[in-house]
Amino acid sequence: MVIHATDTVVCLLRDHSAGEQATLSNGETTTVQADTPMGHKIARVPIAKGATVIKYGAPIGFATVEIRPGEHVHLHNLKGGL
Amino acid sequence: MATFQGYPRASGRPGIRNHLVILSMCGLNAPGARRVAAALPEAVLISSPYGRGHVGPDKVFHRHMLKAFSTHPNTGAVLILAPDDGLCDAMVKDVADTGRAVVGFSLQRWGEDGNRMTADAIAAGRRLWAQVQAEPRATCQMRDIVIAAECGHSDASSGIVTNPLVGDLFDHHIANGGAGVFAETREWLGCEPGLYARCATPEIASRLKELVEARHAISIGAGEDIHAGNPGPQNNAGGITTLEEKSLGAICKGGNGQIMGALGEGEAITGPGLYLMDTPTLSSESISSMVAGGAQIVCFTTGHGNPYGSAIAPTIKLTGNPETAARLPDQIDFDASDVFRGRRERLAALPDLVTLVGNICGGVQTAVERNREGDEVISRLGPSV
Repeated sequence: MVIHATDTVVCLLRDHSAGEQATLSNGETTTVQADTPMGHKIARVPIAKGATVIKYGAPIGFATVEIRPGEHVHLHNLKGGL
Repeated sequence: MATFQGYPRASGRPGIRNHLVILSMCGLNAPGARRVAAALPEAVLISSPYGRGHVGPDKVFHRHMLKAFSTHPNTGAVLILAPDDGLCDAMVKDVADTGRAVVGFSLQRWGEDGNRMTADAIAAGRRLWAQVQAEPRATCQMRDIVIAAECGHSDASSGIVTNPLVGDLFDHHIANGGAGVFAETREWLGCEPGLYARCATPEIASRLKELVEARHAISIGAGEDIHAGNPGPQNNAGGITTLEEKSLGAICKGGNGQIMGALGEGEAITGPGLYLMDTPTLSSESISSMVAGGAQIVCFTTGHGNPYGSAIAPTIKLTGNPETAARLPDQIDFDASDVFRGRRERLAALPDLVTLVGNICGGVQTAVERNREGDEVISRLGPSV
């Protein structure tokens, strides 16, 4: 599910296994890199270390390490700006 | 131009209901008011447990809210119950000045005889009800509707589907000349700079900042750390990583519009566009304040479900969670779980939601109305003396 056109992460609408193709609501496809549960985010594009992560068309934090497309984006690689 | 069959008023916005409101102004009238309400099941009971001994802004707010409910666009007639002639007659006058039918009962005038006053109030209520239920609907403009948005018992589906969908509704309604409002200040935590940037003028941004800081000062003054454990383990398990993400998932129910006003609790929504109101997060308090500000209808998104809504403003319950929609078919008015399941695009669901809003404005009942789960509360802003 792509919530906003400029988002760099997308939300999974069901559990996905490592290696599964995810088809996004806008037709793009990406390969889910690791087992990722429903409601969690994967990267839609490459995200550089320190780059802002965009969801809802707005910054939700920054990447603490480099993130590849399809990777699970959560507590281990995303930190809030506050 | 989109229209609906509603109730034009002598002044102000049109109503989508023509309620008989039983307004109990003071805690001393509350038990009697409940007996009156039991005899008039179609009426809306608004009962304050307080009403004397307020001071300062708390006193002003209490009176303002009682008047706002009594003169709300959805209110057709009012039965007032008060402890004394002074409180009673002043409110009767305020309501009568708006052209609404109103009858007042003061315990003082009835020699403090609660039984006799209750019986007389019920008789008057029956006559008022006969009057309001016979009044016909007439053509009104959808752009004169103020939609309030609320979220409660949110889960992953709320932030991914249901709140963005209500945001789409807000963008659509506001583009067509309407107004929208959302509240629950604590839920904006972490997104405030983005909100200030969306304000139409620096004055609005400055007022919004003032309200936000005052609200957070209450928590901080009570020794609470508003950032600790936020998002919490349940949020993390559901996929929410950062505070900004959690709050954006909440505020997206207001859409993308420019912010035309920053309002205090219960303050009147004066024009078209998007408004933010500073309120507590508890649904009863936030909804009542938005309704008092003029919202005639409420869109209430929920993840896990909850039965509550406004008594005065029909409250549409939406969920994107398929398990909730299946578990609570008698509570949910709009099931967006097909969007959450990826079977339908969110924007494809918008016309159905717009149609539902139009139908409710025209008289179709919400689940909250059928289940009689509506109420109004008046927040306390300070202690009594």
